[in-house]
Amino acid sequence: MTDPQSLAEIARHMAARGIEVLEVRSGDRHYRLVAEAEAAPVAAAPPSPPPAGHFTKAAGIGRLRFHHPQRGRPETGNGAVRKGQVLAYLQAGLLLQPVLAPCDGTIGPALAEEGALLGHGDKVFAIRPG
Amino acid sequence: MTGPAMIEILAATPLSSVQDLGRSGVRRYGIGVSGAMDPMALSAANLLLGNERGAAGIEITASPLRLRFLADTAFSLCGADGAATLDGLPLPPFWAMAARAGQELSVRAPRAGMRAYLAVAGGIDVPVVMGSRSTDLKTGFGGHEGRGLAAGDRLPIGTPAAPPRIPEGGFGVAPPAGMPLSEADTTEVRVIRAAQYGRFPEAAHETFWSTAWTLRPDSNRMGFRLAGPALIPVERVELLSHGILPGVVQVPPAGEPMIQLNDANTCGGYPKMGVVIGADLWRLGQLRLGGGLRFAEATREEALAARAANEAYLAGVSRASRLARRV
Repeated sequence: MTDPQSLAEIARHMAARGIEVLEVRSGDRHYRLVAEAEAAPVAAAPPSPPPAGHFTKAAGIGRLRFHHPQRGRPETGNGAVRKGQVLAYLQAGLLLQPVLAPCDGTIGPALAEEGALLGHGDKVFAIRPG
Repeated sequence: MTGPAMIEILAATPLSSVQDLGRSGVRRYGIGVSGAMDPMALSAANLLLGNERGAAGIEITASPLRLRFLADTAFSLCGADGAATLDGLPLPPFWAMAARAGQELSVRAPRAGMRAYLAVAGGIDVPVVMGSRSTDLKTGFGGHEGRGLAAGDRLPIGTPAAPPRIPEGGFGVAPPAGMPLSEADTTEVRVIRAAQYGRFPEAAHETFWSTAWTLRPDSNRMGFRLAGPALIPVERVELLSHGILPGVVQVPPAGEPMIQLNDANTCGGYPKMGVVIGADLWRLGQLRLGGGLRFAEATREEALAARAANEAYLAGVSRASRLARRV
């Protein structure tokens, strides 16, 4: 599937269905096809060594949004978070999936940028439990 | 299970009521349409759960509402952002979530927009009256006992075809373009000229299209009264009463326009300057008392295109929600 013709075919199907990201895992191989409709950072790697503690991780695929499109403020507020609280969103088309706090605690700096394209398991925030 | 699943209202104001997409086909008996003032938000709320888009939900109008789920279910909230919480956990707007029996949902008065809509999986299962579950607040029938909600009310929930699988933390959709984001937002709606447009002088036309009108506080689900300059016809217009629809912009003799809405009488006799296109009525449903309103002239073709755009949004909501629920 990695020859240019197959990739073009897949890209055409993705565009027709409004799919932004396609991930394929096969054995030890891992492909990620990204439709670059808008200019935005694609890198999902943490910009700095991750601090110790717990992390909120992306549970889906989408572009990172720190605030809801209907809200002017980010969800993270004063830094105190509750287990299960929505801290940010992963947007794919109209769909918004939550980035959830894994525990009660205090939120640390973001480990990815607004608009970054994240996939399953990518770290979004460090959380200091407590 | 000894009876239908229920939700119990713990606190509400009479401004909140059970509504679906309205009661059609009975205007000839003088029965108005009622129904959600923001049908886009109610439809989106239903589609998030896999309900029929016209299932009955609760219209929460510019006031707080608290309720308890008496059975495990799933719910969604769309429309104005009431900073809702489920057992204290904050919820975003345009969001679907699973609820367990005993959990308490609290919705506050929104700071932008006017109405939030709560849908539950299976819909609010009040009796169908003349083809609709909507509350006719003016006449006092339909919905829950024909009235707005009050503490102690228990509302039955229908049985969904398949209980929706809501992922942990829930999921949501982006609101439709045009959802008010701040109290200061001015709403713009598109208007088609109506039969008596030509009975007003050019200066009145100019005023109608250019004025930033203000929604008077005596506006409600029956109609919106607008504060602004007077629109006076060339000569006094006397009409026999005739059928009118939600969205009709009438000009009473004093000259300040009013927009007839969901709970309006089925006929009236004031001259009509225009009609707000059906696709934009939801925007009026989110206009706050004291809020600013502008009219933009539209053609029939533009009105149809706007309706198609609304349908495309709701189709997108349906697709996104199926993706999230993995169905």
